[in-house]
Order: sequence, then structure tokens, then C-alpha cells
Amino acid sequence: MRLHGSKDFMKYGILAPVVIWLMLFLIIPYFNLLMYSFWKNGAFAVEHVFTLGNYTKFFSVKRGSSAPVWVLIDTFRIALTVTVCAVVISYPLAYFINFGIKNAKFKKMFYMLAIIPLWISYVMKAYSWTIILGTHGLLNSFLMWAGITDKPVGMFLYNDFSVVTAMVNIYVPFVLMPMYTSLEQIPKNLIDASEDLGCNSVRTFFKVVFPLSLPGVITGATYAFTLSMGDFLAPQLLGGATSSTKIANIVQLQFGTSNNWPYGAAIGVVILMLILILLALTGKVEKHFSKLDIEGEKA
Amino acid sequence: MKERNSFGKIILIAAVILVLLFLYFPVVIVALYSFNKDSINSFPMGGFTFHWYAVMVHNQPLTTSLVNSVEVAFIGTCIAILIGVPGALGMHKYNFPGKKALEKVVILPMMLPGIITGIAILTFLEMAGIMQGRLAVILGHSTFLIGTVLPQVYTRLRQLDRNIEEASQDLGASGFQTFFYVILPNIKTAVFGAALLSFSLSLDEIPVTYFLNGVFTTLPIRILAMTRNGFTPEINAICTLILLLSVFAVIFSNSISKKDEVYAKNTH
Amino acid sequence: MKKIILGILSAGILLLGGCSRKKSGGTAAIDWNKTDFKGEQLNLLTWEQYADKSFVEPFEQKYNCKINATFFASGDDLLAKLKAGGGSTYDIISPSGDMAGYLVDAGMLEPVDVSHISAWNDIPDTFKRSDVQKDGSVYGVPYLWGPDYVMYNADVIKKPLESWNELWDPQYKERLALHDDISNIYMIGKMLGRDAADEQALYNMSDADLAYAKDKLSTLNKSIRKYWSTGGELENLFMNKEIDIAVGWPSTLKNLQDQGMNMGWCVPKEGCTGWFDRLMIVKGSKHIQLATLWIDWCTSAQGEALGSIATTFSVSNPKAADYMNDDQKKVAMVSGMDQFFKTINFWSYVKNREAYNEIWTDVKTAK
Repeated sequence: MRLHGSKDFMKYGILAPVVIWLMLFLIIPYFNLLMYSFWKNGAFAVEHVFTLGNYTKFFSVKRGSSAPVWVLIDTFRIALTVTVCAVVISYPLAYFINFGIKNAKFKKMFYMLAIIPLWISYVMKAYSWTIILGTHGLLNSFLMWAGITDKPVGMFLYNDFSVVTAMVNIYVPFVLMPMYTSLEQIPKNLIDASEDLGCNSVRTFFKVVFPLSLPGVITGATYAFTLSMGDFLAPQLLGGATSSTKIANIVQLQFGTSNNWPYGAAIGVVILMLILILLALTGKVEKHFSKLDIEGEKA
Repeated sequence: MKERNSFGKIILIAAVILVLLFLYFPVVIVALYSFNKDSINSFPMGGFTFHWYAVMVHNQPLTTSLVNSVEVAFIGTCIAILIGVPGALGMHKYNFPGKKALEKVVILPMMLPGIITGIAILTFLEMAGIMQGRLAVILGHSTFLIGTVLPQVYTRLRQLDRNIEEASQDLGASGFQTFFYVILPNIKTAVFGAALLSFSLSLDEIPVTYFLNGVFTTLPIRILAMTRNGFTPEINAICTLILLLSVFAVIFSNSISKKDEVYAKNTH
Repeated sequence: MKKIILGILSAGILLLGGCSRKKSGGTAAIDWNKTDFKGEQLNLLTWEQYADKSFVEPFEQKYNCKINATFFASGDDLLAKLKAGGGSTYDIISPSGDMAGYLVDAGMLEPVDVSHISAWNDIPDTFKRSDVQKDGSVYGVPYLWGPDYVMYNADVIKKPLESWNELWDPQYKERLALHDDISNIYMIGKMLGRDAADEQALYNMSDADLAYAKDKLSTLNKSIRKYWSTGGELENLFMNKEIDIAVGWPSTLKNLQDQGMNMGWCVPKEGCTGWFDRLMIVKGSKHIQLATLWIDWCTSAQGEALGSIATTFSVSNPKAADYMNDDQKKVAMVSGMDQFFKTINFWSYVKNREAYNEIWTDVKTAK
């Protein structure tokens, strides 16, 4: 009896801190945010009265093309662009490290090269693009020096192009990691078997490697999408007149100068819901593709 | 057939080189231009100097923010370890209702954009009477750092050979003794790796900190403000320094964890 | 397990319901002869121009204290930071007219004991605006003021602008920068001549006018390279040759000229808006005496002179002229001070601030 009692104590004892902490500082805050989004923003302080006003304000289309809903859709578009670019850029590198290098030492070296950018400061990466893309920055100076252009091109910076470029640069390492892991877990003998059966490496790739790597691709793409949806720093640093205010910036404004916390909470909840739905969907898709894995082994 | 293969290989290698260039070029530029004599960054570089590093060291708000960042990173990592490691152990040893939910919830701050977690914690703390500042930042950081430590340690625990644990208990060791003398040594590199990762994540964190900090400046927030302050080429210098530290941290953490993985694999 | 979770959840909710903010403050008897504050720290929340070494250091030395300055980028930014920090974080703030009245009404300030502001009687009455006086108490002391005017790179733009409408000229495509602030809406109001009869009309614009302002400013977006939020950012934009023309403040112009740029400025014929900054003490400040002494120093003849020299802003204490040389007086419009003052429509508090902010956000997200 005593042993049973102390075992329970151990069990609850070591789990309690993490459960309590996450309850207090994660679960409750997210629910609190939901509650906050239904409150009213008074003249001097937030009033704890129930209102749907924040949501109707967000979803209203009265404000023409500037309606926050359109900003959300525009941010979707940007996030999608960033995701596609990041996936397309990361895949060759992940593939190469896994299958293109035989030497274990080089493999390790390239792997490190691939993950170091993950640890490089966000601000450094974002800020560097202002140096490269500016009117008298590197790209323009170089183009003029090489005689390719005779005037600086303003089009590289302070618009959606610079925002997307910086975001792709920042989020590629996030995409690369799960992709790499996924490719790494493909059993070598499957590829050997495929080649033994007469497939060249291209067919092997499309029939064996790529489908098996899909879970990793999906995970990576999800990271890139959700993170770029919520990114307010890159647009602020690299955006111009109309490209510096994405949906996350509108939330940022509500907690800053526009001083409308309930409205900001409402937009935050909308973004949160969308991302949770996305995570649930991609989770299901991943599960489906992981099943392929098992079936493949059966064959 | 062979020709197609090698053509394909050439394309692949070209693509890889381009990707690596794309990843590293901006960072290398900042590092290079930290030595630029001109305060305007254009091509070609104006000359070589260490001047901006000296300016950086004397920039008091910058050094204060660095101290703040290290403090938050250290405390946050400690809390994350103290809470996350037992949590991982509990999840490894026991099954309980809500275990799957816990697995998903703990990594939620990593999956969601920082702004969502930031405003959630902000509104909560405001109602709880905790104002923006040092404490709020530490609480916020600890919360997502747990999401770094727990999953990593949990994964390592699952790789451990169950037999060792059972053997230890068969030989009469109590739960505590088993933990300290058997489990802990085997996971210590995972814990250390997770701690290192947590520390560096905390040092570079911006979105959550942005909403919780008030006047308490951390290093990345300070650097962000500097990009708007006019004529501060020492930004390049501080970024380069952080870059070097990050590179060393990655190489170091990778070299010690690989050893442990090999050991774990060999004991299966 | 479930019981524990329920318990924690209800504890958490109780915690939320029950807790209240800590109230700080409290004034002890003040000894006005004290000059040694033993390293006390005075916290400023100001425009970035108001913590220049030239007038911070003499004060720090005289009273043996330390000045810690945090900057805000606009009136709304000030409010956000003030709400987050309160009296325990900040002692002195320097809002412009767009926020001052609101802060008084919201009860976020301590009254200033003007008997200890030596320059109080030197400051002309016209500068002592009523928005910071309530129930016989004074909540803000006039400090420095200036215009929102057009500044440009004189190497690229050869002649000054005659009308604000010229900003829409295609030649400035992607070479213009405006302040990321609702003050641009006042500019449209001025262009419409709305303040001809009543100065305050700019801060009370009708919905129709606001809709017009939104459309007009949206069409300007294609000329805007970036909206600047701090003076430093604007300086960067000019120095990096990202822009040739902007609407901004004299201090930026001065800094650019100090860096060797050939800058010009002008006020178009429709006139301009401007700002009059007041020094105020935050409610609950823990250093009320030191804060009062800071205000006393800054508004003194010498203090204002130093402030004006560092920023080229205009002074509120005419005696500051005694400490300025001819060039400095010229740049700060000291001799024509009253005349210059009359040409500026100073920012006032916008009651319908939410609408103005919405319009401004819409401009920045217009397609």
C-alpha cells in the first residue's frame, strides 16, 4: 500500500510542474485571449462587457480594399509564396546531403552548413537585405559597377519582393530540418530495391523517394506558412508604403499605437483558429502519407 | 543512362551551391561590412577598420541589453530544464489521460507565430497584475523554452534501452537512485543540447519579447531599434559577434550529441 | 488528474478576477534646497530629440543623478508605452498637443508645482495652452515647438514646393517619405482649407472629409518609399539616398546637414501643422521632486537654449535668446517667434481618434 501511494506521488509529483506551468502560462492565456476578444475598448480602459463588435469590425467589407479581411487574404498570398519558394529551395539541399554524399565526414559537414542558418539571428538576416537591396546598396552598386544598369533600381527594396525574399531566407532552415529528417529515415534498401528492379534514379526519386519524403515536406511547409503568416518584423523592416502592413502588423498596431487590445485579440484569435485548422489538416495529410511508408514496406 | 545521371548530378550540385549561397550571402555581407570604413554600405567597400567593434563595446544601451538577454536566457533555460526534464520523465514512464494532448500543447508556442503567444501571455499577465517588464519576459520565455526541452529529452528517453532501467530496479535501486545514477547520465547530452538550444533561442527571441518587455530591453529588441535609429554601423559588428557565437554553439552541441546518439543506437 | 486540472483552471480564473494593479506613488515632504540626489535615476519618456547630452549631462552633474531616456515615435506610441509602464517606470513625459489633453482627462499626470519652475513667468501666456490646465492645476509646462514641414535633398530638388499638392507630382515617385502618424490626415484637412475659420476643425474632421483624406492619401502611396516612424529612420532614408523629399521635423534636417548633406526646406502656401511639446510628470512617479527640477532646468533660459541648439526647434522661453548666437537664433526663428507661431496650426487632441487611426491603417493597406 505504501509503495502504491509513493508511486502515485512520484507520478503526480514530476508531472505536476509542467502541467501547472502550461496551464497557467499557456492554456489559460489562450482562452483568456478568446475572452478578451469579446470585450469592448472604452475611452480610457478596456470594458469587460460582451460585444461581437471586434469580430464584425474585422469581417466587415465596408472599408473596400483596405478591409482587414483583405489584408488577411493578402498575407495568405505572401505566406503561400514564401512557403512554395522555401520548399523548392530546401529540397535539393536536403536531398543532396542525404543521397548525394557518400563520405560520412562530408555529410556531417554539409549537415552543419545547412543547420547553422537556423541559429543565426533573425534581425541580422532581415537587416542584411536592406544592405543588399537598397538604392545604394550592394546589388545596385554592383549592377552599376558592372555596367548592367546606369541608375539605381528602387524596385528591389521596400515592397513585397524584399519582404518575401527576406522571409524565404529566414524560413528555409525551418523547412529544411523536417525535410532532411524525413529523407534520412528512408531505408536505403528501398532505393536499392527500386534500382534493382530497373528504375533509373529519376524514376526512383518520383516513385520512391519523393512520396516517402512527403511527411517532412508537409511539416516544413506548415512551419514556413504559419511562421510567415504571423511575421510582423520582416514587413516592418523591409516593406514599403503598402507592403509593410500585413495581418500581424495590424495586430501589432492594436497593442501599440492604435490602442485597441480587444480588437487585436480578436484578430489574434482569427489567426490562431486558422493556424490550428491548418495544423489539424496537415496532421491528417501527414498521417496518410506515413501510411504509404508502411504499405511500401509491405510490398 | 549514365550520362543522364551525371547531368542530373551536375544540376543538383549547381542547385545546392546556389541554395547555400542564398542562405549565407546576406550573413557574410553583414560580417564583411562590419569592417567597412564607410558608414554607408555600398559596393565596393570603403576600407577596412575595427572601429565599429570599439563603438559597439561603448554603446551602453547595447551592452545593457546584452546583459538583460543573457539573464533572461539563463533563468528561462533553468526553469525550462527544471520543469521540462521531470515532465519528459513523467511522460516516458507513465500513461495518463491527456498525455497526447500534453504532447501537442507543449510544442504549441513553437508551432504558432510568436505574436499569438505574445499577446495571449500579455493580456493574461495584465489581468493578473503583472506589468510588462523583466518578470513578464522571463515567464514568456520559460513557457516556450519548455517546448524545446521537453520534446528533446522525451525523444532521447524513448531511445534509451528499457532494460537498463529495469535492471537497475531489479538490483534494488529506488526511483530516485535509478534516475540520478542510471537515466540522467544517459540523457545528459540531450539535456545539455536542449539547454544550449534553449539558451540561443531565448537570446534571439523577438516576437514574444516584443509584447512583454515594456522598457526592459533585450539584445535583439535593441538591435531592432538600432536599425531605425540612424547611423549605427556598429549593428554589423554586434550581429557578426552573435553569428560567431551561434556557429560555435552549433558545432559544439552537435559534436557532443552525436557521440551520445551513437551510444544509444549501439545499446539497442 | 482531471480534478487537478479543474482545480488549477478555477484557481487561475479566481486569480484573474481578484488581482489588481499595484498602486505606486506617495509623496514625502519635499526639501527644495536639496541638490544631492545620490545617484537617483530619473526616467524620461520623450521624443528622441529631448535627451541630448548637452543638457542632460549638466543636470546629472548638478544634482548627482542619472537620466534614463526611452523614446517614443508618435503620440499614440507614447500612450501605449505609458500605459505599459506607468509611474513606476517613467517620471517625465514630453507629449505634443495631440496627446496632452487626453492625458490630463485620463488622470495620468501629476500636477506641476509651477512655483518651482523659475521660467514660468517668462513664458508668454499664448504658449500656456488651456488643454493642460484643469481645476486650477497646471499639468504641463511649455517646452519646445516646431512645424511639420517639407524637407528635401537640395542637390536633387532644385526649388521649394509651393503647394502641398505638389507632393503628388509623379517626379517624386518612390522618393517620398511621410511620418507614420495620423498627422498626415491633418495635412489633407489643411489642403481643403478646413481650418480657415476654426483651427480645431482639423482634429474634428467630418466622415466625408475623412473618407476624402483616405482616398487622397492612398493615391500618394505610389510616391511613398517608406513611412518613417523615428527621426533616425528618416535620416537613414535620406543618407542612404532612398528618398529625396519628406515631411518631417527641423531636427532631422539639422542632423542631415551636420552629416554634410545639402538640404532645403519649405512651408507650402496652405501653411503647415506643428506641435507644441509640454513637459509633464507621470502620475505615481517616484521622483516628483527631481522631475520638477528637470522641468525647471529644461525650461530655463540656458536649458531651452541648449535644447534648441541641439534640435533647432523653437523655444518657449524668450530669454533663451541670451544663450544663443545669431545663427542659432535664426535657425530657431527666435526673432520672428510670434509670427512663426501664428502660422502653425498646432496638433490638438482628436476625440475621434479611433476613426483617424482606422483611416490611417486603411491608407497603409490600400491596394
